[in-house]
Amino acid sequence: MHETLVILKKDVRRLWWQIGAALAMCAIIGRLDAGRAAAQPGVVEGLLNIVLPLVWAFLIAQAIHHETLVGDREFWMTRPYRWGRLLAAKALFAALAVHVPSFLTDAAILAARGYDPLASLPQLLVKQLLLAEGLTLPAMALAAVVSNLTQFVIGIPILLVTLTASLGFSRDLPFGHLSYAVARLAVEFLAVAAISLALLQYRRRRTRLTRTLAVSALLAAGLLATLATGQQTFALNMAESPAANIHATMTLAPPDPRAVHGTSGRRVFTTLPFSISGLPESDWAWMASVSMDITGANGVRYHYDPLRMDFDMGLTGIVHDSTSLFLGLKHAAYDRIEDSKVTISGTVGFLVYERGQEVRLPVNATREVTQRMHCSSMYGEEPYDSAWLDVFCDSPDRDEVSADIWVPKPPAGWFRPDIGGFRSNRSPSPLIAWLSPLHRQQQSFRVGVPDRTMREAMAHTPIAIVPQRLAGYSTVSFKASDIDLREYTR
Amino acid sequence: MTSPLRAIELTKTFPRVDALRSLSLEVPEGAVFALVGPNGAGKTTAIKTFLNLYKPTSGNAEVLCVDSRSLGAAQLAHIGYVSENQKLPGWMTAGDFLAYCQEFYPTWSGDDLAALVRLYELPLDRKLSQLSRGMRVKAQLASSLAYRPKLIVLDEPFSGLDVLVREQLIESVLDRAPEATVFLASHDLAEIESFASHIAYLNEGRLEFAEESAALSARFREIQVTLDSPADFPADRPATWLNPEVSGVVIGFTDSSYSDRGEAEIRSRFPGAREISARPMTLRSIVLALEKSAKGGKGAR
Repeated sequence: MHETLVILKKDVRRLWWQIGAALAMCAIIGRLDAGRAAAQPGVVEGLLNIVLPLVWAFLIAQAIHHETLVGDREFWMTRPYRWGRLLAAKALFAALAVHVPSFLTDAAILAARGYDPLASLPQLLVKQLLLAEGLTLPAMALAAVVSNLTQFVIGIPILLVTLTASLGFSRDLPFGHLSYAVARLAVEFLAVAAISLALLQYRRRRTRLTRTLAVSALLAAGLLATLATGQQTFALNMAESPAANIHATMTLAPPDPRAVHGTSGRRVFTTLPFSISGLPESDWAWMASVSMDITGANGVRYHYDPLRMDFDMGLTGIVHDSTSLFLGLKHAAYDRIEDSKVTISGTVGFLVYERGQEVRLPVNATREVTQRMHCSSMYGEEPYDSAWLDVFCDSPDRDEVSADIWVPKPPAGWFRPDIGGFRSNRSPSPLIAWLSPLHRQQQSFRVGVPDRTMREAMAHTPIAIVPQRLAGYSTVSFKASDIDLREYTR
Repeated sequence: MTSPLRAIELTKTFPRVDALRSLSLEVPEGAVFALVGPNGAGKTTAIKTFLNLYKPTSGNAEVLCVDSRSLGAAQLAHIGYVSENQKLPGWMTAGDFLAYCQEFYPTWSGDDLAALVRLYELPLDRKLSQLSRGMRVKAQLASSLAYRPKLIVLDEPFSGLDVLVREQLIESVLDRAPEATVFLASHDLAEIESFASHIAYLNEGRLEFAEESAALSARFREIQVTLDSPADFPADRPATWLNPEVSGVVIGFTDSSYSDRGEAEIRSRFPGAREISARPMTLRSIVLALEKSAKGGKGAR
């Protein structure tokens, strides 16, 4: 322990001003985050959210490179350092320079926003775990296998680009909520790899072997994220979540004459209606993953795969006792099965959200919608003839922040810019928190009429908020034989 | 008596370079053992392999009775290593550096360090990066001698230093010699001749010889034979006679195994010898003779 502390003291002494700069950035982020009245961070906070992790990574790399592991000219290599104590010193440095300030900043932000940090301790610790998996451990492993800090600086964007690109190619991920689990799995895999590589490099200093393993781990993480199908992703979410597994059934319903169908460009569009039973009526279910096969009597088979694009598939939003799958088949594909009876089979994954008590929020007020979610609204007027109303909710728990937000009785002329209505889209995906300990959701309303009275009326109209939290998952398989697709396309 | 440093068929190969070729040597305890050879001979590779900075390609190296591959903190606490091209934490002052090193050695002696600092006139408040090369070597040496290591390994530590500094440093290392074994790599033959108890010569990764300095000096002689009349060098000369040169009635060569019977042997080969002189050789001239012989492709070592 003594050696560990001696090395740590030396590193802190050497890097005190960089540590100080990182602490200052932390403090600024904390202040801006605590006072933020929007889901998205402002320019300075946004910039610091990018710069601070890079500063942290560079700090860790510098500390590691005080005892560079690559090469044969470092003075420490012929001194009686014990590898375990050296590694412990570097890990302790990362904890002190990165995790302790981050943790304290997060706790201060929560306290400033009216949450009890102690009650949010599990979330705060999970956040530090994520920070370790996504930043500290990869930075330590990368620094341990590169010869100098220039190589480290070059390595960081390569690491980020590889991961981002692989996640960008991820298939069947219609909702951020699901892809988060895949990204998390890839990052967890990389974190385990990073720990193994750091141990190997510190213990044996086998740089060539460690570098080879590092590149292999990076590629494997990328492949893991790229090749995960929607069904696998959904199953992963189910496995990770303590939420219940809900049993439901799904059958193809007769054609709905009101349904959208027709041709456009190179595709034939149709809507397949399904009736569903078993999902709780008071809750909302979201269709989150679909796998589908269409097999013609002549043996022709199409599998829903966004990369091959034999056919497109659209998902409807909220599901109660029925839903529809919107299908876009290539003309060439449709022509091959048009005249024969087809079998349609597949599996759908549902996320089931439990709706809480509706809360009315006055304009320009903050209210505790649940113990774990606070919502605020802000009304403002712009010059001339427009005004805005922003409603945003935050929570230290990412599963708690989802809410249905709407204006029950909006005056004429009000609309939500993104969907042109008065109701939220009830998306279960919270905005990515990144460095913030709070997960946020925001709805914006705008009025573009010159009538001042109408605007003032809006300023006093309460907003309705219904909290919703993930209650369960449901995986439902379906199969319908002897289907004449023409009945659904005309 | 155990050997603090031993190599058995030690081979180290880099891509396209055979740095060490089956090196076998044993350094006696308490010796001042000089490993000499031209630049690129493999001296630094040998030392780095001993200290586990390089893994042997084949063969074994043992340091303080431990395989070099397993060399750890327990052994390094008894080894003092100073190299001309070691990277030091330049941002530290000499004083901070010494205080930092102290924490790693249970046998560190503050009195010894104080004496070394006084002897070397080390400016403790100056950063290592701001010190001259000589001062940096002194700081390294002070940090490597203050814990009274059992084995002192020096890799070209004195090259490029002025004579006074060199003498001072050598003296301080030799002060430790009775209790510590010194293993020194150098290409400066004149420098090490005065104090090395043992000398090994490495050339192109191959050990040419390794023996006590006194024995080496005793067996090498520069022979000059003056004949009555010009004659050729005898074709059946002993293999230990190197680099023969004939100039009229004078014949010269290097005898690499000279002994008390040497003159009698020479007389038997040159019956008409009028005068025979056998001059002792410096280490430098011995090595030059060996290299010349090697290039000529003839002669024993």
